[in-house]
Amino acid sequence: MSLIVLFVLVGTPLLLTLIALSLARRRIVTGDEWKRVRLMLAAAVVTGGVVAWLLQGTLDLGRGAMLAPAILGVSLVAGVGLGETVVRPRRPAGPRTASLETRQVTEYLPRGVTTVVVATAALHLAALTLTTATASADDMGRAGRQVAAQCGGTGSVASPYPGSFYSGPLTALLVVMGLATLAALMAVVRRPRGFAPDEVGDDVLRRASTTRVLAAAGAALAASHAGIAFFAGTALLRMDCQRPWMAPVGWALLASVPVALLVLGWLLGLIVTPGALPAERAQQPVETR
Amino acid sequence: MTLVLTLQPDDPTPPYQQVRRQLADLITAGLLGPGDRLPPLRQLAGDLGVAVGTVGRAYRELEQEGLLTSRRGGGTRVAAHARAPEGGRRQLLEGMAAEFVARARTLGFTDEEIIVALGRQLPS
Repeated sequence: MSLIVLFVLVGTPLLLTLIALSLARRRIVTGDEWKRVRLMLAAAVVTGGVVAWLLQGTLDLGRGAMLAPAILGVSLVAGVGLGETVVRPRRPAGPRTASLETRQVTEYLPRGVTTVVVATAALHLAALTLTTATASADDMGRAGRQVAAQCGGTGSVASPYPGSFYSGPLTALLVVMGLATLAALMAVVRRPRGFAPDEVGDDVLRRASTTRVLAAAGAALAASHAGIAFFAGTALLRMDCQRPWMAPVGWALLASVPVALLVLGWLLGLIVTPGALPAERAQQPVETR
Repeated sequence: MTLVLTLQPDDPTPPYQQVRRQLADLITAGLLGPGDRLPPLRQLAGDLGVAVGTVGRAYRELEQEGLLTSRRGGGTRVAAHARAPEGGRRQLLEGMAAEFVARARTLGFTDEEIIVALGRQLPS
């Protein structure tokens, strides 16, 4: 098990970085650039899928299944981040220009996508906080693995329920994803000028990149929330004996699943939609860096 | 108005000197005023395709000349007393013109040829 965890922590980012570097080594024609970025995305999804599958077989009691969407999401964030920063054509030779404006990450965040991603993160965090606070230990003494209720002389339990047994590693994974997203956004904003013929075009490309990075993070959160809300909601609703809050919260969690899936679909659409390149440079061949 | 620095790869002037001169000119011309913040070293170096140390050297020299000030965590700004001198813009332009004329004369161009060439660059 430790070897698998080591592979996830070290091997996955290393493998994705090597793929990105190999894609960036060969000569990139500007118009052809999107194909390489898509290859990078596909590699990230396949890698994330393999890692999620390996963990599902390794982590016990459904922890692998519960973490699978987040693992795929983290891999997607890494793939998009590398695609937007490493898999880039080299700038053409000649004079180089630099604006004296200081670029900030906040200037390049699209308002609509940012709002949706922040709302998804808040919803997911609230769901995880609730399930962690209401979970209890199972019959083997494993903390935070089931939900229980007592009605007079009888009791009822449902499991798996995303208490600390599941939410602990998931939160750690989401923190890693958040840091990776921040690093990717900063790398995009610090990316040198010169991929577009003018400053306006440069800003357009930079904003398209930050949109994709943010969309990847939002997709990871939405996928993770859909899984967690489904497990938690069905667990609460199948209890024979329920506390007053359990049925409404269970239905609310289940209702949030299709919303999360819709958000996931929209954000994935933003990621795979190619960004428009400035017309003046569309046919111009450039070298890889 | 967005101020832009340009680095000419064919110019024999070292890159740090090109950056230093352009920044000094912008301050002298009053286009960069006291307190204006300059971009971080990494951003400027990345955009110009030079090492961070190259831009760092330009910033350092301008600090020594009293035109810039740096503070840890506060970035690099145009110094409070680095105001454009009276007639600074005019002096700057005359200096550039004098430099151009001197260079053209060294290459053997007559004054008439210089005036014609300059006129062609200024279509009315």
